[in-house]
Amino acid sequence: MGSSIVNLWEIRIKLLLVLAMVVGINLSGDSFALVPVVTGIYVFVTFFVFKKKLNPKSIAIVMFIAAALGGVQVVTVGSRVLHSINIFSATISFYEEGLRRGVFTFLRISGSTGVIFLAISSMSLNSFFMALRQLGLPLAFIEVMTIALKFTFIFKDEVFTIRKAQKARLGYSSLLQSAKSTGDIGGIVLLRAFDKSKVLAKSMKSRGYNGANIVHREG
Amino acid sequence: MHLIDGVLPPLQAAAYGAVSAAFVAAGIKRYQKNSIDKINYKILSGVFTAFVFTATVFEIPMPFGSTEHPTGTPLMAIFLGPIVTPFLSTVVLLLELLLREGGITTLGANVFSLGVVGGSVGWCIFYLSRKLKLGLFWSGLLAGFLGDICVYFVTALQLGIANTDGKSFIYYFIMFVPGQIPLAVIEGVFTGLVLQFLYKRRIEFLKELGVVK
Repeated sequence: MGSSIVNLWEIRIKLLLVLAMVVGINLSGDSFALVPVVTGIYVFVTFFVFKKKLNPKSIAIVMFIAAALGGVQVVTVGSRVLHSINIFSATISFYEEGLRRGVFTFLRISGSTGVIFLAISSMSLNSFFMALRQLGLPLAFIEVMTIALKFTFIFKDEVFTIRKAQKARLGYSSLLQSAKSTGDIGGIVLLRAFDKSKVLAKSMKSRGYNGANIVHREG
Repeated sequence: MHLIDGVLPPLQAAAYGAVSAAFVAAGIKRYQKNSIDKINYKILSGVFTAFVFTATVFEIPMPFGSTEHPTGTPLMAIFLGPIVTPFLSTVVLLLELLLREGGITTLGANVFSLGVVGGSVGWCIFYLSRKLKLGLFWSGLLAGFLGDICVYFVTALQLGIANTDGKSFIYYFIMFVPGQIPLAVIEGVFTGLVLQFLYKRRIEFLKELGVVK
């Protein structure tokens, strides 16, 4: 994956290509051109990007949704019956129109996901943020994204520590106590984050930060 | 409520995108104004974004192009206000794209349900309950519960209007109910407990953000 050819592409081009392909796939309607396009995407991802090491679990949820949504249409949409089966006393019919609609729905969803998967798997967070900024996304987005990611990991560590301490004090001995302990975790984490934000803001202010984002360029 | 690509017709997806973009633009403006007034506002926004991101990552896939999970936006709106919530929800949904959740063409629809509706309903219910002299816990519980349910109501409405698999809004809403009612109750209780905890331990935090007077 690290040495795949997709890693060599310029990130902005990659993002624009992804956007164009996702929109294209969604605009294509029920066109048979989707079959080679989607197959091509997955062949490319599996053999050229992941070199046959693609973990099926990473796309399992989306594939489940795509297959279920397509499958529901096969048995509910249409009037020309292809085949019927009897389960106990109920008859389930498979319709020709539903099969067509179901297959294209499946292709649209799995195709779009495949393209996003391909792009995201081949870029780092920093390069993703940088490309979004260069493509004109307001700076506020990048700012909040970076702060949020930093705090996501802080949350994870703090929740783990607090939960361990609560468990040691029988904080999860009953349903009511568990609910109370979980609420306390939320409160404590928010308070700690609030305190950290104040300290961080103070230290930024003391270094001349006034709320504006100034980037000093070399030279 | 993460609608995935391919579930909504392109025209409808674009319409949701346009409507949400207006709310997001207003949110960015408010965020920038508040950041100048209060220097730790940016960091607090990041903290609540991380909170909603964590809450929405735990999802149950549904067989009709969506997922079920707690929303977190009612709590965010109670603290930061309903105007900035759509903007921060967009950040959450962009970050979730990195985890292959949600979609690009459905981003507008997801922002509309999660950020615009979830945030506004949660905020309105909370302040209405406070006006009716309800306690902080019960106001938070109602806001969290109803805000969460409304997000799924709107998602069911979006799916019903899209009519991808020939089903009505009622079908989608009923499909969401068994999984979402317990999640909404949990979210409501959690919202109430967090507010109660903060009120008891550090009331100045709530006062600073204008949650209580």
